[in-house]
Amino acid sequence: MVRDLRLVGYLAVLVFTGCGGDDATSTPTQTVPEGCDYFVSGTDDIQERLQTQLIEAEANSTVCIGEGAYTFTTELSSSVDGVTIRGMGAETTILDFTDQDVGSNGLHITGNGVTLEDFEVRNAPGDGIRSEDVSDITYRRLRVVWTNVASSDNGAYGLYPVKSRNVIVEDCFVTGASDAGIYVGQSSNIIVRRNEVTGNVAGIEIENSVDAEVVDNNVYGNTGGVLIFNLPELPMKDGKRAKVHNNRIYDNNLPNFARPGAFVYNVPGGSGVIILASDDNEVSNNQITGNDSAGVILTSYLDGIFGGFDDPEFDRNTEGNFVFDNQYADNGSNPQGIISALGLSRKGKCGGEGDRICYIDDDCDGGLSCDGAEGAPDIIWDGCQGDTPGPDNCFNEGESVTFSTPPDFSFCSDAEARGDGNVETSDIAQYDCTRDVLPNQDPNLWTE
Amino acid sequence: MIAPVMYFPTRIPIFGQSNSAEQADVGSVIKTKDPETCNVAHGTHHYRGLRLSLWATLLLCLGACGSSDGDDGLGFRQSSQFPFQTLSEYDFFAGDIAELAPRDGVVPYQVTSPLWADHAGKARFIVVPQGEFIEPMGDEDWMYPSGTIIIKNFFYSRDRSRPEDSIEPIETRLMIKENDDWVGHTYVWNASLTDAVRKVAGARVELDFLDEDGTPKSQQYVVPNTNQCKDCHERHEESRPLGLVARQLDRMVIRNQQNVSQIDYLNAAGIFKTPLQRGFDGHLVDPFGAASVAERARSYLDSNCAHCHRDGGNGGPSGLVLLASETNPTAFGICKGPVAAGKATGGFYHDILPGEPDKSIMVHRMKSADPEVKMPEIPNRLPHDAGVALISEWIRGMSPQSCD
Repeated sequence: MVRDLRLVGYLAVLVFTGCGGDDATSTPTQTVPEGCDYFVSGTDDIQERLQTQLIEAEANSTVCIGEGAYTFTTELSSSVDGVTIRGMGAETTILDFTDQDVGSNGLHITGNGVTLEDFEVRNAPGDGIRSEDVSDITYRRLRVVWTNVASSDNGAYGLYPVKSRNVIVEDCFVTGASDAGIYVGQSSNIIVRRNEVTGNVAGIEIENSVDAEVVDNNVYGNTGGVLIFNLPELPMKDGKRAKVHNNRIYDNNLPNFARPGAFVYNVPGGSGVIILASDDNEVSNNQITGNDSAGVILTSYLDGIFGGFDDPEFDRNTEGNFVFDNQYADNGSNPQGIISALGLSRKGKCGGEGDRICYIDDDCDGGLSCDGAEGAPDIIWDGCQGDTPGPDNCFNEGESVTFSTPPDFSFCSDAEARGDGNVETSDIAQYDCTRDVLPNQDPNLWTE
Repeated sequence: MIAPVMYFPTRIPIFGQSNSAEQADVGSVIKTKDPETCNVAHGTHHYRGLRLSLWATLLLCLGACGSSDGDDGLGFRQSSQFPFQTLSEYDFFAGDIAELAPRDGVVPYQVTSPLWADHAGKARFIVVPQGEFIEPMGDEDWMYPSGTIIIKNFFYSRDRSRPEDSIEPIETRLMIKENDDWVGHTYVWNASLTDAVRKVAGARVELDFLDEDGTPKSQQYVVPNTNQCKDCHERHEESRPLGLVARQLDRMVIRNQQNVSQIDYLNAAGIFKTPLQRGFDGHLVDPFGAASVAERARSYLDSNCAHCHRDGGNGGPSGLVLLASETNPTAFGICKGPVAAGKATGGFYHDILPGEPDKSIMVHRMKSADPEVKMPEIPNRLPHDAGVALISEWIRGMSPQSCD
């Protein structure tokens, strides 16, 4: 039988490099750039050479990749601790996975203490860069791009650290993810800062994670801007304490292009920030504008939307969150999906002279109108609480902000738990309260 | 009484009527070999000692390197010789290396429910350093001495009309215990089948073959890169053997032309410090054997999926746990919604929708060859039709639920 000629070729290469050493001609001799321990460039056999270098790199070394566009057919992976994988720039070192047919991720990281910087990952079939069960990972100045705009065939997540500790995602650009551009799941101690995220179903998603800071990001043109989710049936429970502050979250009105069945398929286009079944988060000092469904949505895990679950530890309600000092403009003007179906209106009135937040009142006709426009309010909370309500959510916003809970709570999943009138109100006044501000994340204080 | 070591197992058809790749296990590839090279252990207890042919080689090498570590043949443990660049340097096999006839001390084993590997069959062996032993605590996660080597040969039939006579090895994977860590290596066989050469970055091999009708066909076979070993073998940041678990090994095997309990055989082989036990939860059955469809399906999922889909595995974050021992129906997929499947949901809402295999994400992903959708993610490329049929049959037989 004739065996693969390619294999023979590989062997020839092996023999050649085994004897050849420095005078190998398969790649031009290049000076290793300063700060790099290894340098991989040139497109010939890049799959094998880069993957080999990633495997054989010493711990705590730096693998640099030269300028150029490199195509791969198999997922790349790195498991060396402390390694830095560095391109020459996110605009100039491009790892293209368009033709990949083996493995789902573009780049898969399993080492601890890894830094990834200054390259682009293009058209990965699944996730752009996934790191899983690692400590101390930094994603810096990366681009993750799917070149087909808003296609449900695009990969799911752009940057995807999961089950990890001490995660930094900074100065990255992600577009085209059919799930979330930047997704941090089941992790703790997280900073997501100064990123530009657009054209994804979810811009930034923090899911079943604790102690995240999402700051100084530019989040626009996604289906939903920033999602703080806590989902049932996952190994890590009780996601909480995400601090979302000083971001620009605007014009997130892209129609949802996720596949049905994907959880984010539930996200209505036009959502600025959504907090789902997650507690003790903070949304403060953001500019939240032009999101057609609503600026900030707080919702429990509603059976009617999200389906049932089997997880006795899961608390479906959304409690103890603190929303304050955000700037809102032009949100809710054209509600999509479930928000439209809620039939909310921003034609509300203020609670009265001196009240700081407007609310929707079925009986409202007249009084001090906040806006008077058709559409949904800036802030929506489903108002559902369990039979042992946790700390109230607090909304401490400026005077021109509109707020609503729905006119009734019949859709709340914990039906028998809603007995007291406490929750059957859309009166914001009792929720105009304050909570302790969450601390910013400081990597110097992180421990393993 | 120790069963004599015997490497003349009855030939088993590899690509016969059965869909089970297990049928193609050790023995089938081991062709008749010269009795001169393998008859030393008959009826004796001495075969561990005779492994010197292998380990002496390593010792000699170390001696040449100036190591004086160990006085009883264990000095290879810190060997910088590993990994060798070629398979032959390990000297696992006697005679024609492509016959995969193990030297004494290279102990064959078989699993009950093998991982689908694109029509490849497998021959598995383990080598334990002389004088050292495995401590088999429970079903899995045993303590192995440094220097233990697990050998898995993948072989392929070039002519499916006469599979027994057309077998060729494609690749050999080793896991070597280096102090506390298992390290994986892959070796790709050369065209003349005289040796296999180590490949770090993996390879793709075009396999030409004749199908059952004699029609020439070709299939691309993927040899994983050595990082990808960890995709399956790593759990809680530690690499672990997958086949060497009691629930996989508790089966009958043919040794010395006799049908014997593999547990008894391995216990007699002298590689365990204390006897390997049987009877743990989640015992596996032949997925294409005679057990109930539920047992067979759960066994199939255990060996094909649970290396990732369990706590600490690559698929652990999904919450889907496909160990046969898992008792929570939601955890093993019944009415369970996807978490991070992205487009791989196929538009379906549950991993398993009882009664509806064609609306179950699990079946959808098993059937796919799309790299984002397919399960398992690596290393196979071809859907396993028999596996899909088994899981479909299982789901179809469940009482329908709405899962809402």
